[in-house]
Amino acid sequence: MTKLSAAFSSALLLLISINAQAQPAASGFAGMWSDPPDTPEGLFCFFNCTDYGLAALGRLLDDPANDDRSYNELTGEAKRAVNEAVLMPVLTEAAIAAGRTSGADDPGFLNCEPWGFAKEIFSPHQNEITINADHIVMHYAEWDAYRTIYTDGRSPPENMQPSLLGFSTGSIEAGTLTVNTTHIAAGLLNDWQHSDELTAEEHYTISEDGQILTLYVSFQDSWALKAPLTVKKIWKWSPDEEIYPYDECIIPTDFIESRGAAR
Amino acid sequence: MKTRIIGLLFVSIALFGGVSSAHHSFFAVYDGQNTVTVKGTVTQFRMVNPHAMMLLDVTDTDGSEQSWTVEFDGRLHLSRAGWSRDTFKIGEVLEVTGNPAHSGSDMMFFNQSVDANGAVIRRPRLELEDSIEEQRRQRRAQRDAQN
Repeated sequence: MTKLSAAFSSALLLLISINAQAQPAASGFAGMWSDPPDTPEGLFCFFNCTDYGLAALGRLLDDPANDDRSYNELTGEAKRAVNEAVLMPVLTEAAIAAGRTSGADDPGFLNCEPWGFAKEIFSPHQNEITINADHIVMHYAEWDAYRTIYTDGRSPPENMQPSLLGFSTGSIEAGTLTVNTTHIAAGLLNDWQHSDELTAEEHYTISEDGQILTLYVSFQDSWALKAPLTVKKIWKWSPDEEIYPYDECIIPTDFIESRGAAR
Repeated sequence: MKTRIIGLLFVSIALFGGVSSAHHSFFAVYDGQNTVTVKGTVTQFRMVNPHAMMLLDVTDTDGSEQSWTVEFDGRLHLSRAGWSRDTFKIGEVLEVTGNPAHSGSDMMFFNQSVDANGAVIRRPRLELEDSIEEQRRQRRAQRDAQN
């Protein structure tokens, strides 16, 4: 993390007003985390965001000339700035040629197919973390996905094939959970396609008051990215929430056609 | 189709100020700048994944019926806001406002409903956005007070 981004992260945490919770996450990373605080900055990071985007949004929000513009208008402008300054410059010609995937083509939406790693780690809502002796489990509410992060130093099995969530190893040192993931099947990264060469290095930290979990993840993929792409996500400590089974997935078109309402 | 239902629609430009994207890329399917309102009877309400869905039988001025599909945020999102399978009941008559599909089909993304007693249910995301705008007003007041 650069000094600038670190400074900005500190500023963001000061800006974020935290609802009173039963108690801070005294157990460290373990426990239930969920959507970011209901603040302009938190909502901007509902799925994922970048420090560049947060800084752009901050400037827009602070500019009196924008007082009469809606929040949605300002976030749209900030996201366009991120696309132009952060995302597009690092996409390879191959990734650009493959095109941006429309949300209407999201396999999760159209086919009830669980998301892959690069989308699942940003999934909204709950992320319950369990720390075990030799591994950590991240349980994401969206798609009820369980992700194992080995902390015993093991290597991936020989001839391991790429999979939806890949193979993750990690360690906790000096308050940072670092996770490295390989063997990720080709999928979507912020609506752009990535190859099975994608690797990710995640850094999780907790705010001093124990209320905010922040992830910085750096992606590398020689097919899709000319340089590492760093993206951020924020969760709020949410001990009162629980994860329900992700059942009853119905493809919207099936729902419509089965009722004879298709046009 | 548009001709037949035009009498039912009250299209208002950006009534809700541009609805933010759901995580299944709302803008790819729906027109976030416009809204439509229809009145009809609930025939289905399913709190399913990836998004909750409703079917609404809407009677046109000429007596013909259309089945409108109303899409909602994901079940996880709605559940966190206190919604349940019983939030809407089969047979209930509702006036529903939402963002229309780009395709022009009888679909919308839910913004709000008003039942026969005038009770309003809003999309949780809109409640949150109202809260965000209020926070912006407070920050502006603080900024103005400092200047």
